[in-house]
Amino acid sequence: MNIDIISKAIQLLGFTYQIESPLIKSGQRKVYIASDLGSKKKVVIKISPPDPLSVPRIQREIKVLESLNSKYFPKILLDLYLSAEIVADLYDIDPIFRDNLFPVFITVEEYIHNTPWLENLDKMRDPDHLISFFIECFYALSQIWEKKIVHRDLKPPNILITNKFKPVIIDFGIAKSLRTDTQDITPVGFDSPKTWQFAAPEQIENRKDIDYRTDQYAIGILIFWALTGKFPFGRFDQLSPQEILINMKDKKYLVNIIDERPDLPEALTNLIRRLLEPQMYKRFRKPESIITALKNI
Amino acid sequence: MKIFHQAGHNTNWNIDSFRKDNSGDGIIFSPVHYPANNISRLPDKIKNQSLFDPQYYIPDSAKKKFETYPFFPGNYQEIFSTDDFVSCHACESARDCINFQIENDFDSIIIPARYFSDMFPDYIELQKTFSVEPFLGELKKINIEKNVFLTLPVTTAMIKHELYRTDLLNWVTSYPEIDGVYLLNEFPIIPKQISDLDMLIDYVNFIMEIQNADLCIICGYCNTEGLIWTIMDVYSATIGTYENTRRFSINKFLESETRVRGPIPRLYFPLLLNWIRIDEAVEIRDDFPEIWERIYLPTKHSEKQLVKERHHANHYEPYRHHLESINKQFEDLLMITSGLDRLNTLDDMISNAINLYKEIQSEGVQFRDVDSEGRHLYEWRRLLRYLRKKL
Repeated sequence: MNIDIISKAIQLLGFTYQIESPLIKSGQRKVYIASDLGSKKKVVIKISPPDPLSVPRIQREIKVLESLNSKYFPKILLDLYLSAEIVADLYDIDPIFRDNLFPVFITVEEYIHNTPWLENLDKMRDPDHLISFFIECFYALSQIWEKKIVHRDLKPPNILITNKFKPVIIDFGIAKSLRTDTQDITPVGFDSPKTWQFAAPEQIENRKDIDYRTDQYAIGILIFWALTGKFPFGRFDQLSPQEILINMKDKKYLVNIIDERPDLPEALTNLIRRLLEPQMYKRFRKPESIITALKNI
Repeated sequence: MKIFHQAGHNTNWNIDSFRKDNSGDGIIFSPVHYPANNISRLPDKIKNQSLFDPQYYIPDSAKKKFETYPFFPGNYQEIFSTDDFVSCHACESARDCINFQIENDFDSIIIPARYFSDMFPDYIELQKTFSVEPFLGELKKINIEKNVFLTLPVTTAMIKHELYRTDLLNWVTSYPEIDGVYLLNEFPIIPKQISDLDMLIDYVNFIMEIQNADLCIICGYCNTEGLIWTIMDVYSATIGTYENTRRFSINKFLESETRVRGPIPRLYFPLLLNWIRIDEAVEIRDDFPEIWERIYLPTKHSEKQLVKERHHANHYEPYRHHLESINKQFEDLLMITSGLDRLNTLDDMISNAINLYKEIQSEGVQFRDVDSEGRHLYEWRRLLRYLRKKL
């Protein structure tokens, strides 16, 4: 769909958003940068087709973000379902919409001013900066874990680095609720969604007992990568998932962090190893224990 | 480390031992043996040092005293159905059970769990939906300072099986909101002292893995082996009177507890780290006074017992003697601050017990059953060697 058509439809419905440029495309969902013509602030607009797979996912993601009123997560400014009835009404108002506008879900989120990871890597390689950044990260994650939600897709594109070098966590598209009385935010199936390079062993195995410690593993990989530029158990474009899984489970590090970074405090390398324990029960049980461990380095 | 009485039949003996003999730091009350109004009448100073085990092990148990606890699962329906309980009553039961523990001002809150003898693949899901998540959900609604312990009833097979054990560990360590685990392991009833080294090692490792996740452990239903758990700095071990408070068995929660014969009366000999049949003890006393001098540590209760012609299971003396004697052993061990020094002391105690047994045998004393013999001591000494490497 043409972005000008969507902008026009949104404005006709009384909202002041003007889509400016595409940001990313994730599956069926398209993400755009837009302006709020009223406040003159940038926003992010996500547009998704109302198919049976996307709808529950979008609704639950909105629910998660709305429940998290925190500086560590973007705020939802608007969620709007452009239903078939609304689209038909718009056809009557302006014929330009005919054959150009279809039912869609529109979500407007706060835009987070951020700088790419690659621009921050030099700073991130410094243990003091890295520790202060990840302390904030674990503060953020403790807020979702407390709500029994696992993000399941922590990786650089989903942890924005603000201009003040603070994290903001985005994209709860594949998050999972651990509560037995709620449906999964996305269901765990035979091949549950994941980003392989940052996935924990239990995700690679498609185990259904994943929990918040699965996110700890992803952060372990991320810290390892930020400090060394390498992945501890191999790259998925070079080894098969089975080979990497065996390395993970046997704790067979293909990269020795001490060789790569002999300057790192032992307490930091120990903490990384604990985050990368193949057994969940050997990782941290309480987020505050990780934060304390980081502060004590 | 605390020493709790694992209360059972004749809870008043535990209360008397706690109050009059100063044995133990509190009592784990057992609703299957003690009705709710008795709990309510207890002095606050006992309750606020004690725990209440809600015992949801057999949720439709027909044991009468459970009827006095309205929140007990079996009391919600004429014909109990797990599905109906989970969907209609689990949260109410959790709320009322928590309120009962708070109103009585027990030291901590215990979240109950069901007992499963088989290694069901959905063990964890069953526990989660039946009691654990309803309790955690209700606890979240209230602001409470008390420690929260999650009951974990397991069998030796469960903790031996690598994958099952891992799943259990992943599960119990997945709740940041709990402080500890109330661990019940259904060791085999025979022999009376645990003599299987592999079983003990599995249990020790299981405890250590849970402790490594910053969780406290209450080792429930301990017999004499509880002394060994002092080396591992568990949160609590237990002491008990009858055998069914010193070895967890689901039988006592079933309607008709099968009892082939009455228990043979025995007396605890702390220096032998074992219980001896009273008739045999009397024979040693009368026939080998020099050995008797070396193996017998009297309490006023044992003295009273040993002048009796006969023992009856309703006589409190051997039990109060045991509670006082083993509590003293715990206290002596816990005076030692380092785990390694405690291990060394316990090692000496075991070696001493083995030597005393050798002396008894060298005099030609034949015990009438293996439970009076000290076979477990050799395995316990090996367990200490294993633990020494772990410390």
